[in-house]
Amino acid sequence: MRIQVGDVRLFFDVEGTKLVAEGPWMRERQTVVLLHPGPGFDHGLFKVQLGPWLSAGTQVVYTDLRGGGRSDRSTPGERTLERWADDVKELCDAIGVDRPAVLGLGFGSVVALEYAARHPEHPAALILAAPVARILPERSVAVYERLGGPDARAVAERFYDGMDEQAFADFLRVCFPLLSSYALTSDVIARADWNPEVLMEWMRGEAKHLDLRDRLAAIRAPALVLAGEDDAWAPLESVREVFDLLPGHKRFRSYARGRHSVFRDAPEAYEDMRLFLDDIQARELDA
Amino acid sequence: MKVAVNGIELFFDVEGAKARPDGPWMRDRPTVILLPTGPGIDHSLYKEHVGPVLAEVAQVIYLDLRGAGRSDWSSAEHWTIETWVDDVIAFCDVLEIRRPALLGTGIGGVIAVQLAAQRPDLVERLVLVSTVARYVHSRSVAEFDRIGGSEAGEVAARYYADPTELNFAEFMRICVPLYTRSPLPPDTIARIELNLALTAHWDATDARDFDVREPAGRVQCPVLVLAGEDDPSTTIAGIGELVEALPAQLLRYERYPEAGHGVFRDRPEAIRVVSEFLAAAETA
Repeated sequence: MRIQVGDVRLFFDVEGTKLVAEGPWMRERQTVVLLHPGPGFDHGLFKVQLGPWLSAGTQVVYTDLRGGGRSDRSTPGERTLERWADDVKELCDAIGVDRPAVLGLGFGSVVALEYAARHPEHPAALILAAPVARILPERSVAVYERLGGPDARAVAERFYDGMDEQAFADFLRVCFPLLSSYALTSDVIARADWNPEVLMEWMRGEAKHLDLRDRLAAIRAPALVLAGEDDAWAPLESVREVFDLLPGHKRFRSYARGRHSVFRDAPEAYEDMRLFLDDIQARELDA
Repeated sequence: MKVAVNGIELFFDVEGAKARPDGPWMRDRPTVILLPTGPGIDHSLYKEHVGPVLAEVAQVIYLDLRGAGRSDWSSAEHWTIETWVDDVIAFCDVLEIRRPALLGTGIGGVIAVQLAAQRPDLVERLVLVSTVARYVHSRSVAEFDRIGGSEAGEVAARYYADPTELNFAEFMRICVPLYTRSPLPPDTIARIELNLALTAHWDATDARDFDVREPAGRVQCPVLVLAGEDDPSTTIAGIGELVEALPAQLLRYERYPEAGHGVFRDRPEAIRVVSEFLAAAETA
């Protein structure tokens, strides 16, 4: 399905019902909105494991953020963190999702932070996997070197420096595979409806001066923060920085050998999420 | 979930993703919209057995029509087949639901037929469960009499002739339990968010003169009709009349002995017949 949100139409898909039959009641379940890495990527990788798993106990809403997947491309001036964050709120409002839990991975968790800061009363909870408040190349480059040696460092440095097409191609070849502990099969890549130019545009632009540190104090929703200790996109100290600045109820979990593919790499993250979501459902019932 | 449509908000719920990973592809599955039997009844009856099974092959969308369940109830002058059809069309439009299958039970099926005739470009397939082209009360009275005895026949006749509140209450008590052979469990009834004012209004107005025989002839997509032979509400004679009106070359007609209104409760295996019919849309 797609629906009009501001100046664009956004794709969303749903797994699991909101209301389940239970004795004489229709019981409401928590809705979880999933925000994919990117930008310019799509929701597809969540469909393999995370979404189906979450849908056993919650209603899952997948969406493609503007610029990626089946959503409208929009225009460069409208592909900003602020716009992506407002899209999340407006999408929920347009399809009648009240008090969502919002789960983001990587770039998706950055969108989730901005959304929760701009609309503090909107989310019931945040699950932030590999969030960062700033993109600090020197931290990422160090992890790429630790995982991939001096070659990987050199390629990562050129990528963050110049962001020309050759540097991006080399980055995809040498560094991108280091973001996951398993070989990203050609199937996963072929399935993605991907717009690399949206990623490049953002990395060259907004990402360079991104700094959400002061924004985080506005967030009200309880948060679960997940970190892979070998994640070059979101180095551990950057994730820790986000966690330390979150003002409300919060939990931090980091996983040894977890990379940016943290859900895949750390099966124990599922148990941590389940406990967190159980608490959230109880809180929402009390409210 | 809720979406704004024609000046009101419609509640919908979803089971099963539209796009699923399949090797190097994201494969789109069919979409089926379940239109509640009604009027005045919400989507909950489908949640128990029908939706979960169909979700194995399709994205299932449960919808509460205007006037029922968690959708805006609106007001009596809008409780018409015409408005419900417009609402479903607008619902598909707003959410870019392209060529869904429509499954309707009872009046849900009547809405589906009318919509498919009006917008053949919109509908991929129709599943009409316990659906008649028009109500002929004498047929229902005869069936209530046959299945429930002479008291049931008399109560039905009295209600159809004069749908007062008192006669309605008596009809609910004596006749409605005869709709299905296996009784509805109390929990199932408790889960329904019912608008009895709409049910009563409908029985006193549109129910008396709707007739979709002519639109049925204009349907252009494959149609599956499911009928219970012991259904006093939408009688086998009435369903046969609809079947006659539908284009024969597009039709598959399944009759179930000892099954009442809604068929699936009495004959759960009929759900698999629908699954196969929906899955066939992908290969067709």
